[in-house]
Amino acid sequence: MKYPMQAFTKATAMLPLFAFFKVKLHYPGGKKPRRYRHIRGGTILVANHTSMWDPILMGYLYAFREIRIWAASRLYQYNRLFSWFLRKMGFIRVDRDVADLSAVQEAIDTLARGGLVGVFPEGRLSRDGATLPYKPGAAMVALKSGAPIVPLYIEGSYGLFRRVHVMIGDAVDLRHHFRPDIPYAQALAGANRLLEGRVAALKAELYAQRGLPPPDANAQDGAGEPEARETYRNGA
Amino acid sequence: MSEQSPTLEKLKALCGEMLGEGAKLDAITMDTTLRGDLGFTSLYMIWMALAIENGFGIRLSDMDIGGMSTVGDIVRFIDAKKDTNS
Repeated sequence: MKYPMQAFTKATAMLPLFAFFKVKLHYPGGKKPRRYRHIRGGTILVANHTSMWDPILMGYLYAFREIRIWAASRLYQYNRLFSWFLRKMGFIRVDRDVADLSAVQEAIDTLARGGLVGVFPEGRLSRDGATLPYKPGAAMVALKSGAPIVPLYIEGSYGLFRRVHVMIGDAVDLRHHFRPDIPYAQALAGANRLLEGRVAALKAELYAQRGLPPPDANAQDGAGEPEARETYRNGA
Repeated sequence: MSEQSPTLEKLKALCGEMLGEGAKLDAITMDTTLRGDLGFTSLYMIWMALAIENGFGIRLSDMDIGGMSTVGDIVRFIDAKKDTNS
């Protein structure tokens, strides 16, 4: 256990969080397959980001494993105590405005040790729920490390006794979707679009399972994945 | 520094993996600029740093890649690290 502060925080905060979050988990097809019961080994968790509570929810969902979440470097500038807390919790500091090598290296090292890494690829909060363009960090780490990505879609209101819905998707190994001889820039762009498409598809399925009207169609709504696969198999 | 150095040849191979089949690897020399001639963006630099770590066992930092502007800079950095470690 590298971050005992994380274990302590989870243990002491778990009971109130049960009441606060009221999480309902959803799975593709409506049923929880056996393979979802445990995530083993190095895995990247990717989710949409509409609330400051999302990282806490991610930690709560995987309560019995240490998770290192990418946190924007500006969070470390609030005050020394909060900065210390983030470090002790095992958050990985990332400068979201530049290509941050050290953040990528820390994520890859964590995955190589069999750890969990949490990423919100939009890089910032989406205040109106619309999907922001994904930054390529998660895709880059996945392509380089070979670790699978478990996409999540989070929707709901964080508040006392209010419901938060989480759709947990199938794990995806980005390396299986791209030939090794594809140029890096193409592979990265395709992987990023595939990831956006996966999360958008989870959103659509969640709405369908809840009997809600489908979300507004956008470029990311599942359209990225088939196109990316065909394009890169053809070597275009 | 010989243009035929093993480090340079290995680095060219890594560039080929990044840039794809159409890359003109024979044209890469010690003076080839990363951003100008090869079109490297900051994401390419990260990928290259990770490839160097895998290929040469040398970990670069943000500061290291920030100071590199040519292929020769990378070759000299790698050779210096290899000399230090040997």
